[in-house]
Amino acid sequence: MCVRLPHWPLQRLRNEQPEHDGPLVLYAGAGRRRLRVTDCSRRALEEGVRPGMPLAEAKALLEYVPLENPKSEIRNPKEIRSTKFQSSAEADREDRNIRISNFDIPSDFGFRVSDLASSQPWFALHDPAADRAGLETLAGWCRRFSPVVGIEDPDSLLLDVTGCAHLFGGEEELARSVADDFHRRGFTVRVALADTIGAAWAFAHYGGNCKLKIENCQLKNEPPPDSNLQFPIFNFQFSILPPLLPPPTQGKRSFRDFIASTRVAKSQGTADPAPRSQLSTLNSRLSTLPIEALRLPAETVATLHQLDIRRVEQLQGLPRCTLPSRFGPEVLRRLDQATGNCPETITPVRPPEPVEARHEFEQPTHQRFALEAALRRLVERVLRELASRMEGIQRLQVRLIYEDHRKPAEGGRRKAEGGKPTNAAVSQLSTLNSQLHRQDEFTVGLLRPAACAEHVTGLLFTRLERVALSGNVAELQMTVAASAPLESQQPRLFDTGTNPAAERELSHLLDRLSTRLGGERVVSPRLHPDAQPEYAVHWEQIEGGRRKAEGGKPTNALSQLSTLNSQLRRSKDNLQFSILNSQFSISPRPLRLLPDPQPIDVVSIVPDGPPLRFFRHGRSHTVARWWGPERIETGWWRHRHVRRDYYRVETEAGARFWIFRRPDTWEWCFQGEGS
Amino acid sequence: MSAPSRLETLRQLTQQLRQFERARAPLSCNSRLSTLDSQLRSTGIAPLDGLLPDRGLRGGTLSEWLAPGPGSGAGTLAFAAAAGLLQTGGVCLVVDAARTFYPPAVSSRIDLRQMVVVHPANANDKLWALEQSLRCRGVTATIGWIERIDDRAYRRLQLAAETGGGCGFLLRPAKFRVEPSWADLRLLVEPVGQAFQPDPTGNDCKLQIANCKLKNEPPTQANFQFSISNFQFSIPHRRLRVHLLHCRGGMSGGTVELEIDDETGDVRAAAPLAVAAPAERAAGT
Repeated sequence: MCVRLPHWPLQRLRNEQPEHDGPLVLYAGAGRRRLRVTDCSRRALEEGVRPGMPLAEAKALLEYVPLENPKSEIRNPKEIRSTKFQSSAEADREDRNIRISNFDIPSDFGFRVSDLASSQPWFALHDPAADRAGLETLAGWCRRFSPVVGIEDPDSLLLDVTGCAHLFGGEEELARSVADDFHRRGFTVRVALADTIGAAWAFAHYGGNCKLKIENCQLKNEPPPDSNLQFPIFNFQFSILPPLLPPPTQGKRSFRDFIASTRVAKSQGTADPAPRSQLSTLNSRLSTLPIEALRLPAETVATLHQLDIRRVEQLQGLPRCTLPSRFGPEVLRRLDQATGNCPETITPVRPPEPVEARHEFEQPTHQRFALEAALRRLVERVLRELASRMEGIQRLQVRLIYEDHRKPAEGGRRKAEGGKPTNAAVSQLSTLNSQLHRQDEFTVGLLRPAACAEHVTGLLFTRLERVALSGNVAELQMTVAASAPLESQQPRLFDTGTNPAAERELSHLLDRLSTRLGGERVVSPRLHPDAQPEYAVHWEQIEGGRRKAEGGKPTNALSQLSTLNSQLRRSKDNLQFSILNSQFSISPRPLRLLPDPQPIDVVSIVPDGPPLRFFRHGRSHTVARWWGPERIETGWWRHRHVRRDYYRVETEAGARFWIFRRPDTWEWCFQGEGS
Repeated sequence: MSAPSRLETLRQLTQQLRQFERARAPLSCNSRLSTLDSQLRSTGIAPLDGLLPDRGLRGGTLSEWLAPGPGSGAGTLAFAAAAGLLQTGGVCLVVDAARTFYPPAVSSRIDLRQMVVVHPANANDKLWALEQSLRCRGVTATIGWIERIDDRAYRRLQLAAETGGGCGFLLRPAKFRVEPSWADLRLLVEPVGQAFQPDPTGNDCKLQIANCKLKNEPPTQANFQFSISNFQFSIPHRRLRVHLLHCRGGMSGGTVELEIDDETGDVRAAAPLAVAAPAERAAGT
């Protein structure tokens, strides 16, 4: 289920400060002169403010400026309108409503036009962090509907309602009660319920063809007594899509399938669901939506629009294999997530409760052993606190604060200690500290959550070795940046070939390697279908608890490890693996490949003929046998078009190499050795 | 003395040697060594297993694969052997400081999800990573390229391998053959050069052009048949000769010739051009 809060920043501000009821304008930008309107309320829209216009222009439109010089000409028609509006707002309302209806205004945002004639406009700076925090609060409220609540930026909440609907008397009732709840709290929402996250999001944002549209007329005139409700017009929509069954190619029926099929049986009153028809229903509904509904990046959408691809069905009509190279890998993933061919999980929002510990040295010190002893004590303290929650450390942040600049940091810390350690105080402290530049900070990530003090301290010591102390350390602060529930080891009835102790040792080893060498140096190779040999491998980082920069979702270190350790499972993955393999087995590749080909001198009989002899590192190699050429011509979309004729050569000594010639320049390069 | 009794004597001596070694090992390793004795792992390459005295690789050992030059095939063979060890699951860790290891070359034999690659920045980090990996019981095979190595560091690697119980494969240039080594097994892998032979299967291209219509001439039926010597695609197997230079607790001196199919990664015994050295000669009789 997806709950969308349209124009969320506006809604949040209205709800937080109900005393402001004038037209609301949000602005953002870099520098004073580049402030631009990002969003504005309906009333501001009526006054001619548009997102994207400079803030100064919006101010000029909204703020009441008495005409000091009556002779001056009024050139701007909008000014006429605003003056007219002030004199006879009621009379003009209908006229303006007609005009405004051309714009996309979702619903009323907490004011009645008639009441606002005297209100002051309100300009607020756009604050994404506060918006996010507000959404997290809402996610906490939503836990009464579902145990798993996630946030999809910028304005949606995702609820996993699998198995929850019957508690509320069905899916429609569930959606209705979610919407009711939000309205009681004073928010306008759109609720969509579908079988995939992607589809729910799409219909909450772009689903014009809602199954149900409810307008609660009763509340129109009399607001409910309890709340600070700013929304006299009660208008919410929700849509419920038929459940989607997995494609019939999957053999085994999982528990999820079971739930899905019972849901179909319940809703349709039949015992035998028809998976194909359900799938096609979802697909047909999705296909009419605009491509923005797929949660694609703005640049991709712009590219697709340039090609006049505006609907999902047009995108589905294109050959699948060409999509990643033309529009990036995101397109196919989002498409599959919406149609249910690719799994997607909701990252649940957990309330932030930082576990922290600090140690102040009586005498500032730079002795390693003193630091290590303090670190060990801190780790034990932190672990004791985590043990009550049955959790282990996944990412640990350590801050070393040096002697001379401790004094200014005290103020912030005392604030934090005075009351509850609030987020604001913690962030204030960290900003204060970072201003000083007299501190060192390092983070240790673990592949799987650990509660073993010895292992964690070992990692910290390894990491501490790489820190060059720039003075006497006065204080150590330790923060658990990420924690996760500990795994429980269950003795197995049958030996499946995997040894839990060995698995644990392996994860400890990978932790140690990535702590000392750096996370980017401990990687797992993944094949990538690219013709150019240098790009045919992607190196994936193996490190736990660290957030991926691009996706914003934490890496699932446990699943990575389990795939590492697992025996070959005959699954869909394996099928893909073998398909990928077969793509690469067209021609054997060398064991060692130079990322940057080296130019070499080659003797050949004819210019485009095979090599006879080549020279490398001052040695001459006579070619006894050769195979090829294998023409590789690709990469125009990377703006580096390559055209190469690869030869596999065997020298008289029996060594095999991989060299190529650029047909355009007749230049020979060495790229690999079949070592 | 007849041959069977000599073999019997050798077996007894081997047994005794192993007992001595077990007594010399630290106490913590004792129990592990005894369990390792039963842990013989096949490389998946029958002729190579046959060359080894135990008919397989023993867990907790280091093997050195010496290559006479670049591109000689020692690495390919080592990875093929590692693939055999990984048949029963487990993880293979590759320590590649030069950042030139190219996984598509081995992806037909090894599931890349079973593989972790480490790119250390310097020689010290490389040795440290190798030792850590060998010491870990969760790693089945550790593969690394090394050149000159300090005697003490080498011994550390060997002890780490004994503790961890996995197999360590060290790929080295053959010029270090003369240097002392702590490896339990030393193999020299030499490519066998082959003269060019035209493809007997008739891989020549035949091109038939029917209804070739030339300007101002009536259409005729013409057959063009020519062989294009500039294009060859089917890559024959490469032939490697493996010498067993040293084997701890066993006889050394054997030789075997192998054929590797680069396309499928299959390794098999080559047609017997060279006769494998008999055990008697190796024993010094």
